[in-house]
Amino acid sequence: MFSGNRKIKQPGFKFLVFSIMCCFTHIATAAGRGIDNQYFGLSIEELMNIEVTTVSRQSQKLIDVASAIFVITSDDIRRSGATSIPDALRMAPGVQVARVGTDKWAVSVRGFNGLYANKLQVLMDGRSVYSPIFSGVLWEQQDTLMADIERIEVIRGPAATSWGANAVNGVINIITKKAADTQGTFLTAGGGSFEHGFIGARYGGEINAQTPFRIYAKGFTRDNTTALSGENIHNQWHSVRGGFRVDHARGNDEFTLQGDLFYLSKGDTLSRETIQLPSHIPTNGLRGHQEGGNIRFRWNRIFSEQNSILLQTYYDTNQTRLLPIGRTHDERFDIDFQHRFLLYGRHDLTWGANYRLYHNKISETELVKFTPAEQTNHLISAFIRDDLTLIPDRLLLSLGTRIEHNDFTGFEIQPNGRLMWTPNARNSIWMSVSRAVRTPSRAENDVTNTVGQLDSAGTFALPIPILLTLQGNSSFNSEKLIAYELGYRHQFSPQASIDIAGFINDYSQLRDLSFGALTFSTGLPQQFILPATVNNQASALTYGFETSIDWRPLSSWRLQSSYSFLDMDISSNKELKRLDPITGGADKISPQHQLSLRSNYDISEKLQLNLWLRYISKIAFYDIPDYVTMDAKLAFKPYKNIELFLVGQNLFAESHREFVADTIPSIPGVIPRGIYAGARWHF
Amino acid sequence: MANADEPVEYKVKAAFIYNFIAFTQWPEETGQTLNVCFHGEDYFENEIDKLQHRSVNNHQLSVIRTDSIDQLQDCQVVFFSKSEREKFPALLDALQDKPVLTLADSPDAAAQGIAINMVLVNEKIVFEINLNRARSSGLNISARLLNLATKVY
Repeated sequence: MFSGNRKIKQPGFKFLVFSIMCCFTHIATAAGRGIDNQYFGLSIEELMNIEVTTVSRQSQKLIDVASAIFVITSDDIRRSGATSIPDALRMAPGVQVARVGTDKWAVSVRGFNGLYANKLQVLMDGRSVYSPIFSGVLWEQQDTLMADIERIEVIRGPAATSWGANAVNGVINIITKKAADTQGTFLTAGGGSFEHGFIGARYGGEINAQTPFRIYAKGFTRDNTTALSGENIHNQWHSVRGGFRVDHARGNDEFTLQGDLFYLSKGDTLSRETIQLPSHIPTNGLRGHQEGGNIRFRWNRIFSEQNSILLQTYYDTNQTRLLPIGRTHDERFDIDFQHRFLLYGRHDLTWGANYRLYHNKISETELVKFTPAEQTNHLISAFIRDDLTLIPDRLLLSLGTRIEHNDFTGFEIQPNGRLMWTPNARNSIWMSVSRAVRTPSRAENDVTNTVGQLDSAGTFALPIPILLTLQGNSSFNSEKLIAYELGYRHQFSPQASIDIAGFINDYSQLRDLSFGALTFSTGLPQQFILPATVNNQASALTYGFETSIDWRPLSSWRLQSSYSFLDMDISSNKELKRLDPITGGADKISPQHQLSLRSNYDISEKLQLNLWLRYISKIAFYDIPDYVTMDAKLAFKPYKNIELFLVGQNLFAESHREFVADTIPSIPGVIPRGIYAGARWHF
Repeated sequence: MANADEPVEYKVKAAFIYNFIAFTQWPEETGQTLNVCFHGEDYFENEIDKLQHRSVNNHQLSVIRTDSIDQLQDCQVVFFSKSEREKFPALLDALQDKPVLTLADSPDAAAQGIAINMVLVNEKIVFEINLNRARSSGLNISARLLNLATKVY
């Protein structure tokens, strides 16, 4: 599998290779084609440095290989020059990443993008960071030392059987390195035009040989963005965070204890055009902050290769405060158990159970009110999955289901079936049918907020302004998806491979809006008040495909490209189609075409040039034109453990638009060209 | 489907075994052929067959799969599969004071008397040596191996 590759200590790459090649090695060896064991040529010291398992032991199974998975490795991240996790996600096919301003991103998979894209589950080291308040991810909080990320697995398509509700369009797993792989001292610092300044430090040591640990801290400050008009949005963003990880191995057992703390401060400018704001509320120069932390404990007992148990528990808390918009406090406790074992030799069974507790409080402001303000919710679920070998090394079937109970919609059933056929060492074909649900958020149940002034003349031909308010609905149900997927992987040579995945997603009971009775305001200004409330009357049929090609024309040159196509057909309330970016207008929110081309070239042992070209087609809903841009990173390594780098981001234009904030009335920023330089030192 | 890591893990373990043999000296009366026996359930698949007919320090390796104690009498190297964990004391008794290099990959096997035991620590393979056991069997384990061992009993 790794012939001629001595850089075996690249678990991410290894995993990717495995994903593509998993079943081929077996066939090759079983057929006795006598591939020699290349490790016989290595010294003991070298052998002791080879990683023979990866952290994804639990997930490296048919269910992942027979799905549209893409892995961003730590080398990809370093070479891309990406300074944040959402920016790194632009490398994966089928992922829509749009930056709204300095501190905000909209990230989704296979459509339905939004500031709180609600159909994408995101986990950091097994900890769900999907907000139960908004149904989405606060990307500004999701960060760590970029150098400590081992890989990011991006699974497109439903994965609710494995990962639970809200893994509807996909799952993103951000996995950090083991403590043993972050030994020594690491320092990085730099700064530039948009990335004003950043600093990071990590120290890894050993309590004893079986107990490595690391501690880290990082901080950065990023410039404000400006509105299209040139106005400063005052959304400068400052962030500090720190954390630790301790791993311990004892016989069959592996333990991990990990925690992080963060504080960030950011700003915003609101638009009076999109929202009705009481005149005493300033719209400009608002500053807010967020802080939080988490602690996670994981115990993995490995009886044998196919018999293991996993117990994980974590506590996570975060607070956000951006007045006048809102103040939230969100706490989560989770405990998860999984058991994997082999039955009758060919059933690779995994079952598990999960309990999660959500406790959150949303303070009432002049714009937003939750009733009740404070609530505790419980989520209980259990799953079982059988990865069944029908024909050894050729035909594999995976069947599974998850049953979940939540406080809003009761029981949800999320089954999944996958079939993978590997006719020979170069080809594999997989297909799947799965069902997943997106469960309601607190906001959809309990919110009352002022959405804004309707263009009443256009919509209703009325001379008096209409104020639209959004009203939660306690009978709001889950959104459902049945997805049909088909994928193909082909290995042209050890240097070149292609991966294609297509899907048809059939959504029902999607969130739509309907109007309540129009009332006339009792005070000033004179206006009609129109309550809108959420219902489940929309549906959608989306289809598309993603393809990625990986080619190493030379050992020093790697090209990776991906193209994603997406088409969405949405049936929803016609009157609101052009006002609702979440569902009604979603077909015009996600770009239809996305292209990414990366070239990583090692000019010499000391010099690397990495280029990254991207094309994103237009976002008609916000009148955002298509754009082409490029990032470039030049890295110079005067010594083995020192890297000096110069990075240019979004080079092709002084600035470009990517998105508009839905849900909150922030003035969208234009994304500027950025140049930064810095160094990293490892000793 | 088999776990992804099995092929790599056991390829690497096979390479370790090859090295363990290379850094061990048998008493002079030992013949030219070293019988390398694999006892118990086979996790290596054909990885161990790649040791067949290799030469190490003027010895030829011959790979034999065994499943009963009697068959162990002709072995110079025995790798005990983890399927045999419960039987280690009996198996070791049968080989007591014979010039046999005993190997395993089960937790605490070195403490129980296996001469060299491979252990997974932080996803990498390390090994422990039971020097008393090796010496009493008349084997000489190179200082280089002893230096690299995580634990020497």
